[in-house]
Amino acid sequence: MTRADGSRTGRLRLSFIIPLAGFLILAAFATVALMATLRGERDMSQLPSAMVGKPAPAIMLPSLLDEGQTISPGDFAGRAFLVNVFASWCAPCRAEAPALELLARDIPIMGIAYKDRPEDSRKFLADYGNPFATIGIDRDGDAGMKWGVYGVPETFLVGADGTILLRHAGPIDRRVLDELLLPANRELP
Amino acid sequence: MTGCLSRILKTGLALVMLATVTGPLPAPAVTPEEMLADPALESRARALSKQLRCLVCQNQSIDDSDAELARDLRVEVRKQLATGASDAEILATLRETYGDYVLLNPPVSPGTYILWGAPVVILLGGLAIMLAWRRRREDDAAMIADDEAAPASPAASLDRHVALALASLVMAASLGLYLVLGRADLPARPLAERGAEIAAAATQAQQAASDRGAALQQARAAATETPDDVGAWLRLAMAAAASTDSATEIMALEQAERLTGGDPAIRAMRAEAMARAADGQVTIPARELIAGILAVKPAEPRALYLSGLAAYQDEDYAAAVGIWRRLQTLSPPDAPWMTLLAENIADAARSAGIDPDSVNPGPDADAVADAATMTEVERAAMIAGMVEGLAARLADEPGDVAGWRRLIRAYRVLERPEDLQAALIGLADAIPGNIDAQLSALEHMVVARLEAGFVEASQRLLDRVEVLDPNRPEGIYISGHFARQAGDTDRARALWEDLYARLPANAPIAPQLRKAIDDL
Repeated sequence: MTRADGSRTGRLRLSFIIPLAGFLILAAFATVALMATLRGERDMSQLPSAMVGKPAPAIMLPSLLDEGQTISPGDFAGRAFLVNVFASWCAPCRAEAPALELLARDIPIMGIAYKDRPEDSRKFLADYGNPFATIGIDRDGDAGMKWGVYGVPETFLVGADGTILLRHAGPIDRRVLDELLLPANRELP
Repeated sequence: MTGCLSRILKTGLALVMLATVTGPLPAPAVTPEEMLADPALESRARALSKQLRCLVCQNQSIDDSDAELARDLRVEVRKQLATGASDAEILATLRETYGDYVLLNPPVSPGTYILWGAPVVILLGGLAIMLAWRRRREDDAAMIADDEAAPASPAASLDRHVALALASLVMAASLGLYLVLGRADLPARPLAERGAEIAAAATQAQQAASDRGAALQQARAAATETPDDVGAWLRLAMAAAASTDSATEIMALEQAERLTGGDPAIRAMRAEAMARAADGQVTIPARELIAGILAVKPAEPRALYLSGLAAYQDEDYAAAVGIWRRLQTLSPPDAPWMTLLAENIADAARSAGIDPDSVNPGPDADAVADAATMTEVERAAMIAGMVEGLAARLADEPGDVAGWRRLIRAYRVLERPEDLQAALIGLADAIPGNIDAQLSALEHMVVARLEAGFVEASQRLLDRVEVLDPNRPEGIYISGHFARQAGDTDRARALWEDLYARLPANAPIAPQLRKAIDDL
């Protein structure tokens, strides 16, 4: 055969290889993502937070512990602190109570009682301990919305300058404590 | 060429029609009380809601979702609309707190270039390939014209076969993947249309609860009136069970048991009530009761069921399958528990990784009788084994309050004071805000004279008691005791004097406390 044949196989190979390569690349991405999800390394419910890097919302809330008083992130001015959004009706919040107790030794925690009756919140604290330095009552979830909360429990780390450094949605378990919160706490200036 | 085009058009049209038929039907979740009075604003609210993602359900708009957060966001959107904010402003504020993710249509940004660019690239790539194929066909035509006798190129036909095989493979793989992971979800059922249904269910539930309360009162009165009537006590137990009043249920069953001289069936009912009172956990006392029942009546169905459940909860799935299979063979085929039993067996067999049919249906009557005549030592060893398992599990999951309570009860029965002390501390640490848990751990430490072994823990618990309630008499007494232990007589005296001053003069322990203070 002649020159025409040579150039034809060249073109043919290209028109075959390009889509094949495209498909393989896509398939590789999909496989990696699927395997990570199945192995539990990638959690579809962990959404990226838009609040990291932004200033903590300065919302005044009625204090749960001192009636008639109000609390706000400004109470911690100049210090790093954690914000934990919890509710007595939330089962994972009970599970993370010991972890918060542990964290409270190193860093003050501001609690936000999210969509909870104050008497229920108090009962919850009596049963599971009170690791919080201050607690605000967020009866209708307005403050939660300002913090970008979409489900309790959620925990934020706020730096001394009032910037949100880190956000964790869901309960604090051993892994989150050891791999995320404690190291982040150590790295604080 | 026109034929080809019209075929493409027809296929496209069919696909569009298919998507319209099978696609999700619009089903708004907005409830009447959320709606704005101004129809223009309300229609803007609805339009905005359709563009916003429900962050907990993730693939529904907040307009479609019944989730609590979706409702909050709908209300927030309307609140902002009422203040005169523009659509763009509202979307911007929500994007500020929840990120791009809250928008169902992701904005073009460096992070989404691939997302938006990919279709264009794929389309252009497809066009390029189509052009290349057409050019090759023209080349072929030219070549055939050149050389009439040229045979079909074997390389080209091979390529076509490979492409065909690959395409079929891809389709088969996607179908397989769909069958494994895919699930067509049910269409949404908007809350707005279910208002009457929900209200009716709520009234019904309320009515049923008050009916149950009345029945319980009646049964209680009847049983107190005729305390020698077994039936009255059993009816009270059933009424109490319906009202989930476990304490009354267990009390009534104990009465019935006493009257029947310990009927195995009634004792089994009590074991079941005990398990129910412990959130479904077959507690150690319940297990002892069950062992006693099976010793007398090896085929007691309820006791057999609970004994299988106990094995299941100990994660001894093979034993659970064996016991439940035995119950299956002993039960009449139309017994009401057969369905549940079959499900449980399947579940346990799955957890054990065995085929349920391969399991010998449990020990026969003789073997159970043997177990009943187990020596006291063997029995104690069996219980100790169960307790070790529980203690090991709690070391990994120190937050399991019900588990600690079970372990504490077990150690009390087994009379192992040091282990009991550790378990009491474990419970106190699991519920650090509960002063009674702190105090009972400390009290046991004092009574069992175990202070020396738990110095650190006692300090921790005392600190908590101090914070929780500095005026609690037991707390003050125990603090004084530990101060004396540590040789700090002054502090002990101060604490006990304080306590003595608080006690009423005729308190029975006042003279003892006086003596202890004088002994310091």
